[in-house]
Amino acid sequence: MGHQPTFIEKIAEKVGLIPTLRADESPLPSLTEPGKLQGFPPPEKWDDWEEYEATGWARKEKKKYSIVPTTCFNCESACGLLAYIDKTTGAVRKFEGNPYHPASRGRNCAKGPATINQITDPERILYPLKRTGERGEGKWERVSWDNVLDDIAGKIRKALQEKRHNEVAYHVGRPGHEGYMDRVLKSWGIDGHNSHTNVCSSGARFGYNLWHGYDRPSPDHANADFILLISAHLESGHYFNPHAQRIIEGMMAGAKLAVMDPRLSNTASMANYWMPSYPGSEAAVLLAMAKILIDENLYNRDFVENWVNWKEYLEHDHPGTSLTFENFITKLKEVYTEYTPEFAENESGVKAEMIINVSREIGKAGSRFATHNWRAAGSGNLGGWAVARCLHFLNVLTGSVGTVGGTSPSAWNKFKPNFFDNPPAQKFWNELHFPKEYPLAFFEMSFLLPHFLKEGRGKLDVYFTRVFNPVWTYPDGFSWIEALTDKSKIGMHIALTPTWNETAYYADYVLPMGHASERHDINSYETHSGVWIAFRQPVLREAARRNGKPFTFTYEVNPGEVWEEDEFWIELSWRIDPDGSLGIRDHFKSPYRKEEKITVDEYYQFILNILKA
Amino acid sequence: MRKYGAFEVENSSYEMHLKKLSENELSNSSTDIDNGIITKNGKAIGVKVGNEMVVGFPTPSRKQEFFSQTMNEWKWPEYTIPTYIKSHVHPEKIDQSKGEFPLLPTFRLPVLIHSRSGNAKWLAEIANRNPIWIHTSDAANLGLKTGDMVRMTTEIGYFVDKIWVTESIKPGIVACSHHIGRWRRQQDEGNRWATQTVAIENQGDGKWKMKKLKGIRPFKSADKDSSRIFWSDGGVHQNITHAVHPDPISGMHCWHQKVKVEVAHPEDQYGDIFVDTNKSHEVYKEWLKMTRPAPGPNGLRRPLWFARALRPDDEAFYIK
Repeated sequence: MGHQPTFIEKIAEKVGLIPTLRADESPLPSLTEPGKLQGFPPPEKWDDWEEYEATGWARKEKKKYSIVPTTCFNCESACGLLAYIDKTTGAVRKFEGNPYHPASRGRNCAKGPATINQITDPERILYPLKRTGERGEGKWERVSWDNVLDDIAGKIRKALQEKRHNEVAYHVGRPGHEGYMDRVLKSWGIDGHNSHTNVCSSGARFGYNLWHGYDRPSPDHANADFILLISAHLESGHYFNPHAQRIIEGMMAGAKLAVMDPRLSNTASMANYWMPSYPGSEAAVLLAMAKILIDENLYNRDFVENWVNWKEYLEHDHPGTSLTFENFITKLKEVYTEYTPEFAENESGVKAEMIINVSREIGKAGSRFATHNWRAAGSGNLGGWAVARCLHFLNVLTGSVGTVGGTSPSAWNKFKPNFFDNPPAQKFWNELHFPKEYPLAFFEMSFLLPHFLKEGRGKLDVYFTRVFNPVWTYPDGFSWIEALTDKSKIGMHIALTPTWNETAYYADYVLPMGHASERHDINSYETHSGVWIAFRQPVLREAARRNGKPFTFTYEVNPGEVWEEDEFWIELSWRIDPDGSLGIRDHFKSPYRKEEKITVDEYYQFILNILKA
Repeated sequence: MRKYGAFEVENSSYEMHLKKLSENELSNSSTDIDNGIITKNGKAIGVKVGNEMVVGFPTPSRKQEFFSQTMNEWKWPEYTIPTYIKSHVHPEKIDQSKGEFPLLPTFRLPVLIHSRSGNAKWLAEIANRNPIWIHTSDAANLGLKTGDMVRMTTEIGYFVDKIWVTESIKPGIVACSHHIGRWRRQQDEGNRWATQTVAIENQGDGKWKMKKLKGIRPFKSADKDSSRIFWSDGGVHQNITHAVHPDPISGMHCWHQKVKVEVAHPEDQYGDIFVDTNKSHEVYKEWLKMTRPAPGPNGLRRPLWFARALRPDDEAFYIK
């Protein structure tokens, strides 16, 4: 029986507010076999997929799509996306999840499908732009990619010939560019990489690195018995979508969740224990937990005895003490005496009783104890790096380092591609990035750049910013505006960006680079126990290839002349070294065609062929 | 790969520190009797634990380093073992009687991504304001209610925002979300889904003012949705009023800010921003004083075992 319209629906039909349904009461014919509901189009139909038009359902309008996979770029997780390309118009209509992606498994957050907004934004930058007025004045003219490449290449060539290597720099916000730029910058021989990491995750990275030479955690949430987050990874941050799926899986299998955060985040609201700690007090709470694990004999003796450098500690801090494990435990108890639950409560405001309860749960979970800190407290506080160090201390004590349900080092769950050519490491050290005052700084002191320039520590002749907006995102944005508008400090500023932003307003060139579905990349991230690799591809380029449409560069198939970085850097590098005398061209020659310039297809063909082998 | 877009290389990877060294790897290596470190060609390649020759962890001891000789050698002996360090916003440094609070400026919203989602209309529609989270008890003390304007004074300037009174924040602390408060000047293009129009005034001698001219407004474009924009607020740019706080060890910018929260002054308007960059340079210099510069042992700029972005040749690690 068909749908019986309600009174309201009848009226609405009559006045034409909604289509009349009764004219044809037969239901829409199913596009799939009866009784088989499908979450996703089956891959064998991706080249030729048919479905009803969402806005034309009453007319039973069907559309044919070519479905091309790619990866999201709206955080670092690189979740899988499927682009639905309308076979009639050749335009991307929508993005949905890719069920074959091992991390996101077909599920995405709101930012994935919203990629369609970004590529169809009526105000997006479609062509390369060059400043016409003063820098920052907001006057632009359209220029050709050819002119852009020649102008910039000439400037870089001059700097390299005059041994001003430290005046050329590439400053990246969101990389999403696995190993690619390191290769380019090394081929130029410059120490020219600057990043955003010191406003982001380097605090926690430093703490993890001190423990075991790896700088990020990869918790095995799905198999954990107890999960402790100093982050909001059910709702935000890198890997939150893959993490959130697995945190909930773990909880559905019985795991308990504790969240340390002064704010009731969505994540904290889902927790068994919300520990609203005073900002910066987290390490005190964690050390109180460590003390309970030690005092109540809840630590994993086997792991700690075999895998901690406790002999080195006794030798250095307690010379004369005989090197026995019992002596180490005795000294541990002494050195952490003051970290009572009451002390931690006094520092943090978290009740001592909760600290004791959580500690005992952690002890009970043992090797199935998953923890996470990426930014949060680690990036908020002076000495914030100690938060990750004290958090990982709990993993060490419980022997949950690299175990099932425990917390692995990031590198164990990340794939590293092999490249067709590896230029030698540069001989330069750029003190605008790694100044002597910060010998241990885990990444470049990027947010101090305007102050270093103000002090006359150096200057930049060619400064690239890529998906990077320090005027807005960094602290102290007006100091950035002052630096960016001073041509004696920054000779040329080139903004590579998919969108307008507050920093691009102060550029000499604004060069439109593709969004998620408009460029290449290889992705692999430590989202869970396991190793995966994903391929980001410009979907209209792949559709053109399938259709046999000729093209040379990605900007010929993307909207307007939106390009992608991979090809831009190949072309630019080639032009920096027109006669090959700088030795740069040698690093951009095809592995398959002698003496010819490599193409982006060959670049990925090489990586993927090795992978197949 | 072009077809499926992704694949699994390994479905699990655990306890890789227990990976045994091969006979080939072990040939011509030597093992230290005291600490078990296995060395080959001058480089540590693994560690002997019990009777097993395994790869261990990539640290100098090849083990988990409760004790860090690196911290000792690089002039931080007080931090050789896991330690609690009092934050720059520790209660000892906050005078509540003067209206001072620590500001948590970092939390993210699930639907936005830093400053590059400003051209995504669905996302801008969902999230477009960043009021100050303040606990009920603190708001009562200040005599404020949700929607009232406050002046948030940092070390280098101030911003004027509205408050949201909530029980979801610890008393004594205020918070403001990241991503929101995007702007463009009258001459700039783009992101009108998410940007307000501002006027920037350089008053000279490092003093800068930003004033909101108008909020987010509907606009005509090829996309009919742009004329249907119903949100208008756009929030306030807070980061531009933050001083730099480089951690002397990790180099991390320490984001939390000590702020003075007070009822907005009579002349204040929503979105007003003032900054003195000379002050921000002074704050930079103060934090710089906390550092303990290179060289470390053997004239090194940085420990050789530390990873480094775009790692230069080893010879560049030594100060000449």
